[in-house]
Amino acid sequence: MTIDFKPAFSSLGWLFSILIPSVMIGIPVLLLSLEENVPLALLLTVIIPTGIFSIISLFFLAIYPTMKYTLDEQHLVLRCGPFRSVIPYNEIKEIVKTNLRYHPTSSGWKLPGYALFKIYYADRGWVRMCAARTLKDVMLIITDRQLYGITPANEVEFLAALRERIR
Amino acid sequence: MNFYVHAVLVTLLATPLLWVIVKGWVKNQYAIFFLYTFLTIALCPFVNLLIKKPIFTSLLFPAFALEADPKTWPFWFLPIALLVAPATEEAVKILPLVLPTLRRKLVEVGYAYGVGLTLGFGFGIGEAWYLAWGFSQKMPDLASGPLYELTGFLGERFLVVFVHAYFTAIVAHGISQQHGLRSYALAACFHALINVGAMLYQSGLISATLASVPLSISLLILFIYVFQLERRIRVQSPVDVKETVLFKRENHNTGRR
Repeated sequence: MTIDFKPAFSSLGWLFSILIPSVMIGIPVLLLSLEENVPLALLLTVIIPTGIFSIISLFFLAIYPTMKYTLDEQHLVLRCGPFRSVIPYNEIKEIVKTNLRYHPTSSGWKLPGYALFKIYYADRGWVRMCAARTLKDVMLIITDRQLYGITPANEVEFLAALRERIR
Repeated sequence: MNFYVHAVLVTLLATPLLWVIVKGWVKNQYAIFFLYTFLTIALCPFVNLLIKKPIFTSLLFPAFALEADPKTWPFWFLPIALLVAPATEEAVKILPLVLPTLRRKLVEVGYAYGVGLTLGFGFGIGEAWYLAWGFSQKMPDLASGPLYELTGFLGERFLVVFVHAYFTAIVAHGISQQHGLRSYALAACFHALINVGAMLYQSGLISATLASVPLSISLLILFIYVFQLERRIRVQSPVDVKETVLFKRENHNTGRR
């Protein structure tokens, strides 16, 4: 039987996911409304990067509500939009709840309340995140190959269902 | 006025970002961030007006019979001029550490690194304001023109704030490891390397576009060094890991031989 678990709700995640595309769209709009006769080269210099980033951030805003953790017969599947990570139960060595240490050089999509893809942390190294918290109270799934970070809304139920399948 | 607006923007944008970076090093002693930043903000006008300016006007220019305009300087003088800013600024930025109460805190290597970041950051913010003041006097047209004309100033100062922070972090880390002089020399070398493009541009030898090439290369070298250094420090620093084990597999077969 397959069970889906939603991640914890994060108001910060929503706030930043909405704020970033708004700012990216707002910058060229503000520039055009505040200054007259803006040179075309400057306008393009502003519109091209903000436009690209608006599209990217709108995409991540759109997939944010689709984040979920699925427990099927053989695997734990972390999903967010078209992205998914499959963790076979027999590879799970340990599950811990911890606070991760921020590192400024990380990659991935990392906002307060929204962490996706592989992110570098100062204390743990690379962690594949699919979580609604970036640093605090992250559930780390430790396998031989890599670490996964998740934040299920109902941790007790999630753990009970996961333990049942691991055995 | 425009330069001041951009100095405000640099301060507002850089402070929270550096706060996040420093927080990881100084643990819970957050007050130190504001204390050190406050202490070093005034050091930029101090070093520029009371140290660098007299070195040039009272010592170097009369000694070599030179004028103040860098375009008139002979090529052999450029390395000498290039070394003045790094040598003086890197020394001045760590001045607050002469206070024994502050110096005693440098025992823990990660903490020392965070303190260095903060000292350099304060200096960088002070420099943004000092240059805003200086440029407003020298370039009144730009100071009252459209705001977007100074985005270059904004970007450069934002970057320089962090570069200053990392220079001083290298020195503070060195002091905590009993090789302060070596680290000071290294930070001054990085500083001089980053200034090469600007110096060649100011002396009219290369264009502004070309000046960004040595700048980019030296920034890359600096950041690679800094990341390596941070990794070394993390190995040395005690990390308070608070974690709860929720599940642990007994006799796990890793599949490795």
